[in-house]
Amino acid sequence: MAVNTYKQDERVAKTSKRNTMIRTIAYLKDYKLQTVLAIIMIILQTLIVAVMPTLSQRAVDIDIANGDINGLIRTIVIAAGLGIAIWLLTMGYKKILAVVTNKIIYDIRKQAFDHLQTLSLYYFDSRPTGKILSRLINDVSSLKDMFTRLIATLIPNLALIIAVIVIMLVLNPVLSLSAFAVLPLLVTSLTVIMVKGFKNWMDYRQKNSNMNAYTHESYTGIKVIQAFNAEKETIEEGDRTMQEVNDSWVKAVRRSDLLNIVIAWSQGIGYFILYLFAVKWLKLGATSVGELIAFASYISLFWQPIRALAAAFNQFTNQVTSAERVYELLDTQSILQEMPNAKTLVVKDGKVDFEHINFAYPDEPDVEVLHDLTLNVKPGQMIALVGPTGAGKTTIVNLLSRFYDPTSGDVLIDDQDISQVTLSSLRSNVGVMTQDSFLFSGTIKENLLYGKPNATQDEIENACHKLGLDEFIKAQPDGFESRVSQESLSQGQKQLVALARTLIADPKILLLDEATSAIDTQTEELVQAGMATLMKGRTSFVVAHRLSTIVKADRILVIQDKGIAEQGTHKELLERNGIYAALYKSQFEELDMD
Amino acid sequence: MRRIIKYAARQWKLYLTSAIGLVAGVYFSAMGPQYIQRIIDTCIVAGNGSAFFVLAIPLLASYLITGVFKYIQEFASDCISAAMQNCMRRDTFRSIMAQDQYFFRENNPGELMSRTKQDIETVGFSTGFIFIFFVEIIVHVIYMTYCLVRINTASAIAALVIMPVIAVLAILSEPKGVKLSDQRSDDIADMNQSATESLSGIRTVKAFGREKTESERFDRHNRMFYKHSLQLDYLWANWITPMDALARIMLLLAILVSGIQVIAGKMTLGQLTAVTQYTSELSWPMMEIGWLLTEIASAKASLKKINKILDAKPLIKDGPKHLEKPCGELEFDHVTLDVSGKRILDDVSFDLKEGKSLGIMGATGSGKSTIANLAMRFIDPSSGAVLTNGIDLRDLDLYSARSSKAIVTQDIFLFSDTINSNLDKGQKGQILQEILEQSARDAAAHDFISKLSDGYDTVIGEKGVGLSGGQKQRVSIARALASGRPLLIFDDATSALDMETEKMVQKAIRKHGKITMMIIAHRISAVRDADEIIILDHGRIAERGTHDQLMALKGSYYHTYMTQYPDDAPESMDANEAVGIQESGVQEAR
Repeated sequence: MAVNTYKQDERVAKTSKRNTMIRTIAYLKDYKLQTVLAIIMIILQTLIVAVMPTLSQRAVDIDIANGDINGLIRTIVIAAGLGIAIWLLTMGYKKILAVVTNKIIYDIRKQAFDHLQTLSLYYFDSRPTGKILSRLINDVSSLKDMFTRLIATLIPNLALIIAVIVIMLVLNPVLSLSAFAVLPLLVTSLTVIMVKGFKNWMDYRQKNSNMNAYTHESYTGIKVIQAFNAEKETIEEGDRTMQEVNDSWVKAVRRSDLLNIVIAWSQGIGYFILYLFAVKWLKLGATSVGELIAFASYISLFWQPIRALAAAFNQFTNQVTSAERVYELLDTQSILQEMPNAKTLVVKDGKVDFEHINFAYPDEPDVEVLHDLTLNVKPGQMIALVGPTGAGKTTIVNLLSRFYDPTSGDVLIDDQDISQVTLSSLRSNVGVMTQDSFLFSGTIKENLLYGKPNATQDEIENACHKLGLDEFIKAQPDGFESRVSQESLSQGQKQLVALARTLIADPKILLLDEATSAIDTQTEELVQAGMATLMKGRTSFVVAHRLSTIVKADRILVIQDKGIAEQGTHKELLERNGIYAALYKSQFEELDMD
Repeated sequence: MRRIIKYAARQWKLYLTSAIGLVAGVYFSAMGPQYIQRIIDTCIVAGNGSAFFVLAIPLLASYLITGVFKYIQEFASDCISAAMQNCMRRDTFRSIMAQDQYFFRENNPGELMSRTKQDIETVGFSTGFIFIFFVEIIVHVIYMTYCLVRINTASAIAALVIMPVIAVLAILSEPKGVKLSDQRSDDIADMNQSATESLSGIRTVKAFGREKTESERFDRHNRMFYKHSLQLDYLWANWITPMDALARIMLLLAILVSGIQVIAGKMTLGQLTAVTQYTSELSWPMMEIGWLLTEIASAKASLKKINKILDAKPLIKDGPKHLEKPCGELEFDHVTLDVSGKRILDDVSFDLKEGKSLGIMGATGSGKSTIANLAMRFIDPSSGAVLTNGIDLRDLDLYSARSSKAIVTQDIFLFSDTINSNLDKGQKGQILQEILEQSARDAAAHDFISKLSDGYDTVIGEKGVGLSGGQKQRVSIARALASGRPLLIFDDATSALDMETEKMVQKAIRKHGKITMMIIAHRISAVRDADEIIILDHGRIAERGTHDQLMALKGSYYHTYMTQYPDDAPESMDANEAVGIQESGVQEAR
């Protein structure tokens, strides 16, 4: 299976930025009222901001020119009133937007997480956890800024530009030209900076994701790193990934900071043309000073939104790439699909059939792991899977639990095709235990209840007792309520708890993939007794290396060369004197050496 | 704070560049209004159009130059953000790498990731871009105030009375912002951790069909994050918008006061224009203060968390002595270990001489892995000592303490990297390819590795997904062998291997002869050839001796043996008989 690492950038499907934007905006649909209200407040606020300079003009050209102090005070008071209106409107829309954007982000993150849970194991097996986390946490957070920017920056600033243009044209068309004259220069240079910048920001995100993956792995693998004195090389590699983040950032800002030059220059040229026109063309006199002041205000009002939009766009390109990564995650289809009208799996007997199964991993379709495997298991039988490491024993377990689908062929339980039934009914009937038993941080009891949340205390205690786990639990400070985590128990203890967890879940078909490998023999003996009752009346598949486990099987399958190489009872296989017999004897060589 | 200054001092060149850009930028941008004032007074009010270009060209030039300096300032400040982040991140990563197991028990990977990513980003941004911007605002405000005062004191005072009010608002709201930012960054860490756990345990989640539970678990943190984010946004909406309004009122006050003076004939119209220009130059920084505040507040919260990591002192640290030559000898001298009041190991002593082997067996939870952890100095004993070559491990630097031992643990961790890079962990690129391959052969891993698409250059996944349990175990055994360290510690390392492979591996290792081995196992087959076997029971050594001695003792070892080889009868028995007995045993069991 091809696996992505922290060294490679993940491929992100190319989607158009427009689609990404439209999709982002579509999230607002559920908040129509709030959004409309916020937009109205924003536009009102913008209009007031745009009208303010005309009041200063009035103050200068009319009130001051006429020496009318009362008029001046009146004008200023009106302006102050408008200032307060701006305050209230801004506060209002900011609060509305806060609710809307935070809620949307909450929803998207929830949606993304829930979606992740539906993806097949293949998705998780083929990329580092750190990279998935990077999308779920960082990229979704960026989306929030994107929303806020879209609404709180884009709309008011566009409105402001339009309002300012209209007012300027009404006041004095000639002077307005001074502001517009620089637009072509500005637009071209902005476009060049932005378009080129997009790739840089994308690159920056990727490097961040790589760094996330690397640090995550280093933190989880710290014990190995320290045991092999590999701190130095890990740090060097870490430095490298961090340096890449740094370099890609510097590269991106080197270009996008050019915006400052463009804006300052445009502003300077604008003022120059304004006074040029005023003096040389219109030959304005003392009576127009107020108008000029107002115009100067408008020119800066005109530049302010452009500057804000440019800066926002800068961030925006960055966030669009984040959005793309989030949407890609949301759009990833599970390679395992539940049928639209999937039925509930009903298991009465527990008959299992594998019919002409071929299997290869999705990204390596040419490398067959299993070829034309057919296997019919009678209800209640215990099947042991043996064979060299990597021969496909775990694959058989994965197929029956439908962690993966076969490339061709069917898997049937009680004559029901498992690809046609609901995943939840399948998994509640098929219990899987692997060698790396995963415990969640929480109490022992929470972990035990994981497979059957409504199990009674009796059921729990009964299961623990059967596995001899009660002693261990009693020794814990808070008994069943003691907190455990992946790190706090030994592998063997984890396997015991996991075994009890499966026992409580009470599945009809049991798949044990090296489920007891880390449990010591004496404990296992105890466990075996519990297992015996557990397996009674259930169909079970056991991958194990312990002879004592294998010999008890009703049928032993030797998996080798993409299929079943030998099968039969322990006795039959020994008589056959083939692979199994050789395997079995090798164990006894040990004894012979005495 | 002192730490930030130390980091910042290293970037003094960038700070200086940025400062030069800043001061020059402010200076030149302040020139603009002066020329505008003169254009209005000379060309418009006095009607002297011929003087226009003399005044207008410097006006244009001042803006062009301002642009260049602004770029220098901003680019340098962005570089500071990046450089500060980079340095802090490196140091934090180094600090984390040097921490001991106690630290990792308290700080889970998700949380640590949050610290190295978001928190450092926030702090870096604040020390670079935000800090420079803050300085710019101060310089700008001071200079503009000076210009304003020069024109007309009364107008200046009218404008300036507003500023202290804004400052008070800022000072009052900041601590609340820090508190909420702090909670929010904890929420992110919690989300990170919760998601990490669900994703790492995805197989279990799916096996039990408990996707919903995981979603609910994540949802709790997501909800908290939502709550605190919203509160924070509300806080800023409440406190920042009035600052913005005050900045606008500032401009109005200036016009009012100047207007009265113009009417009174104490000011020219040109001066009035300049006053409004300067005042509006003063008002935009006031409008930015709110935003700065939010950034500074969250940086403060983040810095606190980073400091906690940087200040964490590992309990397990370097001793003064250095071991020149690796030494396979290992001695436990009356080692006792208590963890939170519980005795894990009780007076364990043994002496593992070079070239010898020690087997350790015992029930689940009897303290076997603890011995391996003590030997690796992942933990220190409560009393007694672990010695190598007669030197207490605590007196050695960590490198020496560990460099003699290669450990293969029960929970195998492989890195998402090539097989080769996994094999030469700790000695990157320093081990000959032949040795790597020989080690893989000895670990019975060569065959399957050669069959992989890119052989030894095949990338394997995090936690070695893509390989089966047994294959992972073989790679991790090969890794230990390739390290060439004299003492091998197998902590239940062969449990996922089939008997045949286990035997092959053992044979291959024995071939090396000189290797010292500590084997922790459940299978008799793994330890029976050891020079000494210890049976642990609740942290105490219950039985010890060679295989034969222990068999003769007829204690717990003997009992385990009988369970694992139920058909074992007199040694001379041939295979056929063995099978017969085996079968009857099986029938009984049913």
